[in-house]
Amino acid sequence: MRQLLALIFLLLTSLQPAPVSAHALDPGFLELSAMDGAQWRVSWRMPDVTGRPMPIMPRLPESCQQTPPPAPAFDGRAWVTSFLATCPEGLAGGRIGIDGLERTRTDVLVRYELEPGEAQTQRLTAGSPEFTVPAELGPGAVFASYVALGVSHILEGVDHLLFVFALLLLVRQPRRLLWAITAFTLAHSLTLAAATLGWLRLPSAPVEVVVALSIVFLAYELALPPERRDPVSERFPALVSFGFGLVHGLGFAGALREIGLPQADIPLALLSFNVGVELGQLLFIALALLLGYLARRMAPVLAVHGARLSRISSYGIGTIAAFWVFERIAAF
Amino acid sequence: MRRCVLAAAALALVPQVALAHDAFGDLGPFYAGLLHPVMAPLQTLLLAAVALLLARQPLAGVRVAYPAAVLAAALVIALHGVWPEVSISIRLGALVALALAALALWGRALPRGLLAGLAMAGAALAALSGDAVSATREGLLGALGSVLGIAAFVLLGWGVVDLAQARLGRVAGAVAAAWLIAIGGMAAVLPG
Repeated sequence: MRQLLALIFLLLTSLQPAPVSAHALDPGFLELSAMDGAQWRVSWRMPDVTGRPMPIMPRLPESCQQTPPPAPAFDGRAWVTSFLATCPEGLAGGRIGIDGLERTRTDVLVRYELEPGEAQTQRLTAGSPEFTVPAELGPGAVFASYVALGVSHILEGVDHLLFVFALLLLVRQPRRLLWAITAFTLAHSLTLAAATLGWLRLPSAPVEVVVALSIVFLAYELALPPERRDPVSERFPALVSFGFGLVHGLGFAGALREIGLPQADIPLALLSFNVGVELGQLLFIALALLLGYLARRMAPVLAVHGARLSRISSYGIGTIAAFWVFERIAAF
Repeated sequence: MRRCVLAAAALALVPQVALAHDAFGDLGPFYAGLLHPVMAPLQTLLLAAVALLLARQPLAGVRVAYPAAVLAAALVIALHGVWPEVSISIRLGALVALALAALALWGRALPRGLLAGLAMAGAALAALSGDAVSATREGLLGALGSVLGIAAFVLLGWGVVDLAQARLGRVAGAVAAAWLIAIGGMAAVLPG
């Protein structure tokens, strides 16, 4: 049994992030940055599929004329190219689409500016590969778009999910777990709002290091027998998760800044993104708890050795998080 | 144990390009493998049939058949990397799913060995319907994601039907099996 668990730990260790070549499930990204007059700089990022760019191409409004795009270059993660487009009638009212997207399983995030600095975001999918650019996004469209972005962001954020997973393993009493998750949510909502609105400015590199350190801390606590754990984290897990939640919120803010916010609807977009993050987090927690419950139902022996399994998991979690710490420090 | 710890440490020290997740996602091979059971219709169908068959069997048999099925899937995923040209047709996969669903509808308790064999066959075909993995680090991550995805999907499917049967009676599983037979039948007559 010990050898089996050790093997699982070994496999878990290999879950650390790698310089992945994007897969057919990875999203593409199209950015139209408004320049002076009727010109837009178009940046186009295609997922990599077995060493080649995915066969999808952006289609701009009919009134637009574009310079021939240079051949895409591989940047280590995806294929990128950029070119200029002239749209004398502007983008509003025109249709932007992605040819070939309907034959894939991927999404494309379209970020466009009607005027310089006025960014809007639209998510295109295989089922909805084009859209008409509205003069202004309605509140419903902003809400739906940013909720979806929040959900996808948290589900793709392995470090945040690993933190939540470690919290699930560490805090076994349901009431305390509820408070810990609530505190984490409240904290990262606060810093997400503060950083996005520009009230709090911190460079992202150290923030990402501290996010990884927060996971190392939880893994270390998890590896200890309950009586040897830090009294504060043992008695007040909500306090600890609140503290680390503040840092994780800064990480979310960095992502939201990258996506961009519609200038006319910043509060709504911010709220929607946060709602999406919470929904994704709740989805992950529900799935993890459900899988744990079903595994115990199928094999009650797992419940008997629950403490030992948690401890083994902590080594895997800690190893991955420690690697992230060094990796992110090295990236300074 | 110590050797595994050392091996894990060595794996962790493999140099990587800095890669935090970003706003536009980069799901990577692990997530892609993990999500494959819900993205590929044939794999979904086969795994749903395996889960349903297990849910209609006594728990003692399931405790043997489930890990055996996951093991079979893992083995086939590894072997698929060696022989990537091997694949299964939608028709074959659909017919196997239909047969497993028919056994689930029948509902008779099967011998443990037979149940394990059927679950292994279903899971192995489901694994074969996925993408072949390469002998690289990304390939390992993709394979690991696929195995975990298959394990999670079957466990969830089994659990949902098992809980439904506990609440509503065994008819719930029979209804689900009938639906799966219909879907399998329709998939089997698809052209190509």
